[in-house]
Parts: sequence; structure tokens; C-alpha cells
Amino acid sequence: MRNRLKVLRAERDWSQADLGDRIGVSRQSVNAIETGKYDPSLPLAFKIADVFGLPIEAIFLREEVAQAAE
Amino acid sequence: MSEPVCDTGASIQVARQYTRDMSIAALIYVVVLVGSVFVVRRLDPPQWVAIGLALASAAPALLMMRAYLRRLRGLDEFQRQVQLESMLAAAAVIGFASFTYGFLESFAGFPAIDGALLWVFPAMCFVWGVAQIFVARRYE
Repeated sequence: MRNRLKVLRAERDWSQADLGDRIGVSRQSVNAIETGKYDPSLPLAFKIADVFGLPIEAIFLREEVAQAAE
Repeated sequence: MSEPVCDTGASIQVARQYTRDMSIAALIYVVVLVGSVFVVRRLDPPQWVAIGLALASAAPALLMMRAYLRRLRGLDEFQRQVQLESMLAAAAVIGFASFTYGFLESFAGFPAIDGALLWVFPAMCFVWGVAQIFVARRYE
């Protein structure tokens, strides 16, 4: 799964630690999600969507969809 | 279920609690072990006392496991996954090594290692600790 976390963070000038504080996880966890190495659970994905004020599908993209869009 | 914590005051508190719980367990372990070894070697106690001392020496490991479980509950889902994979690696390495050596002992006459069972738990803890470094690195 791909995601737009890095871009969304940059737009808000948040560090990984800032985002981690907001969603209740460690900086390392944010990094693992951001790099696509770890897919968050649905509750955590909803939390992430909430802090950015966006729907989940605007943040997380299925690999096939992301490839098709390129 | 309690909320996971991050790099905040709550997580620092959980980490401090873990350090404190582990330190207390380690201290109890050392005191009980030294006392038990002294009694067993010097005073030649009856068997029921020796059994009691053996169980007392192992008991602090339960306190360590309790401390670890408390810590685990304070971790977020990704950190728990790292812990799970590391523990599985430790169980696999030590389980496979002891299983294999058991066969070597039975079939090929390899010498029985005196007190080998004593090292299973510490070895698992060691491999688990090392494995965490490699597992965490895989996700960077």
C-alpha cells in the first residue's frame, strides 16, 4: 500500500514525532507507515485520516491504483 | 484495552516503570541466587529445602516477565509487531538449537551439557534482544 503521509506532513510542517503525538504512536511507527514498510490497522488509519481531515482513501492508495495513476 | 503510547510523557512513564520493575526483579534474583547457592553448597540442606531454593531462584523470572508484559501493553501496534517477530526469532533459534543438540546427544553421543536447561531462558532473552535490532531495521 502506498500513502501520502510525507506530503501531508510537509504541508502542515509536522515532523514524524508531531504526527506520532497526534495519533498516539511512536516516531518509528510513523516512519514505518510512511515508508510503506508497515500497513496500519484500520483504527489507526482512521485516526490518521482524522488528524489530516481527509478520507482514508485520500491518504492510503492500493498499489495497483497507485501504479495505474502513474 | 489501554491506549497505546508514543514518545510522550506517558511512554516515558511506562519506560521508567519498566526499568524500575526490571531492576527490582534483577536485584531480587541476585540476592536469592547468591543466598541459595551459599545454602546449597555450604550447608548441604535437605532435599525439600533445596527444592524450595531452586523454585525461589527461578521465581524472579516471573517478575521480569510481568514487567515485560506491562511494557508490551504500553506499546503501539507497530512496536508490538517488532516485539512479536523478535520473540518468534528467539523462540525459533533457541528451540531449534536445543532440539538439534538433543538429537545429537541421543544419536551421535554428543556430551550432555551440565546445567544446559538453565541457559535456555537467558539465551532466549539475549537472542530476542539482538533480534529486535534487526527486525526494527527491516522496517526503516
